[in-house]
Amino acid sequence: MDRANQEEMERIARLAGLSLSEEEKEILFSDLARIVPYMERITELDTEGSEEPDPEEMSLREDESRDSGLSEAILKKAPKTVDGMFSVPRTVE
Amino acid sequence: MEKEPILSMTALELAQAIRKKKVTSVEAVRAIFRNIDEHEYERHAYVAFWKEEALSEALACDALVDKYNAGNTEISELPPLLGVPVAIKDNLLLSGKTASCGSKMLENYIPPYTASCVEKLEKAGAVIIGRTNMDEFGMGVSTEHSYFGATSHPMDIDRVPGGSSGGSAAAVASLEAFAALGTDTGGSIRQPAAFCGLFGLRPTYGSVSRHGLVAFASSMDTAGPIARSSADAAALFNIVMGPDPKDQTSVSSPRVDISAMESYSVEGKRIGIPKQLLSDEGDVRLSEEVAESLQKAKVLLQEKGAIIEEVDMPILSYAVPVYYILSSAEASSNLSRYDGIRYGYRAEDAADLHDLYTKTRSEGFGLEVKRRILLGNYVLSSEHFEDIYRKAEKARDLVRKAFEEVFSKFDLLLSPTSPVTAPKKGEIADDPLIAYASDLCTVPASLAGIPAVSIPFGEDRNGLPIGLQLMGPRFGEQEILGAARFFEKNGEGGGD
Repeated sequence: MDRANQEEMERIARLAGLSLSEEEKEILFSDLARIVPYMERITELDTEGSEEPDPEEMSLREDESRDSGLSEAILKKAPKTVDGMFSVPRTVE
Repeated sequence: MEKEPILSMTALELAQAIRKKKVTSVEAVRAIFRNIDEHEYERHAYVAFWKEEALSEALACDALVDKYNAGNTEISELPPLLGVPVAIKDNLLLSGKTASCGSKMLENYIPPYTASCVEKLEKAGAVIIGRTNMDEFGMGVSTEHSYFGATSHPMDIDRVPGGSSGGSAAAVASLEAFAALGTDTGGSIRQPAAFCGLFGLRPTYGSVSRHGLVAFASSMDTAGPIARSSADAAALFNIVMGPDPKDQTSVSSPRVDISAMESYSVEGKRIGIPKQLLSDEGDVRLSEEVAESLQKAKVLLQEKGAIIEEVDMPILSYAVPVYYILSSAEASSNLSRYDGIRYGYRAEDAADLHDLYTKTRSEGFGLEVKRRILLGNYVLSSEHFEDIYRKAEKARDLVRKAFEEVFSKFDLLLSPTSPVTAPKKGEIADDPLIAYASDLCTVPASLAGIPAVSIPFGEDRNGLPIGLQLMGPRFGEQEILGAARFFEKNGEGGGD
């Protein structure tokens, strides 16, 4: 993978919330250097005649609020809660 | 220890024997756990068992049979799988039981609700005995990408059982469950079923609710059965299918008539073999033995009066890249929910919120998952969105159209399930391009949303099972399972 591509992948990893070790970078970037050109074969494909999926075909149910009765159970799954709320590290100083 | 006869029954045979009091559900559960206790340490089909609960459920099932037989009029009929021990894949939720998706990220996740398909399985009387191992979040073809370690092939512990539902297939083939639910995004039910000599059905997209199936690529994720017979696969499909208000993509679909499968005839049927599924993909070549098996199937069908033709579907040459572009894009979006805040793993000692996200995700995900997240974000980035992601969406529509056209002329399509039989551990997991290319035969049905079943047909020189795939039009389960039954009756080895 050339330098420009490697920088692009590092930026993508950062945006995806992944911090990669040097060892992971070596494996993943060398794999992606082979995988990306393989995927990019499709740029040569003529897609004339294809249609976009029609969102109208999807049926929607009424948007009604109801009590799942699961709020407490859901909060119990959280790694950290305070007074019935999810707790996260400080975000503003 | 000699194999106990009860263990080789099909799920439907066992259900029948239990209702006729020839055996009890407790005996079936005990026999399964004796086998598990003796062999599971070297197979690792499961990540967890629920022995105590299974035994008490089995007792309740046997009590219900007694009541029914004593003429209790409150019970109008017994549920179809009453007392039959089955397993579920580790990405299907069962309220109160850990579901980890083969990932450190969800190692301790206990869902507060049950997946719709699992709920239906419970209502059908099945005794759920444990959750089976899988590639992390369904990403893999060998079950080697599990945080909890690899699963072994039932016939050779140095080989893989396939993936990602490798634990489900290994459990059913090793007589550690009578049937199992797996999930299939790009082939994860069909390919392990093929490697382990079983029947694996990927149902029509939408016919089985995805509610409670942990998302990988939502437009292609499907739950379905891995079973010892075509009738078991059909019975399990009939149980788990049906529309669900909790999944807006779920639809109503026809039930499979199992007795009609018995009288299915191939005479006059038009069966196509897509030639693109027999060609090389990257460094993966169709093995001679798999090709021979396909040839034998073709001769058998012709002898019985079917009309076989090779069909040209040029768009399928692009199926693997299209599948990996779309599934990785959807995965990168679906997996963004794992941030260490609401559930799942949370990293220690984060300096701030961003650091918490990054540490949690970097420590919680395995290498293959990270590879897919990077690939997915790459194809979705503004520089590549139009020429790669949107192009792949358009190509998927062309795949769909190509199948529609072919099914206006053919009743069925036949192909190998996998170009190769079960490889040794390490052979495919170490090279992602080989792993991806080996999905050539299974990803087309995933892209088109059509049903496909893998059936056992013959074996290679090492005695390893070979799987063939039958594909049908949307809602064509009756047709492909009828043909599956035909092969089961007339087949190589696996027949009766």
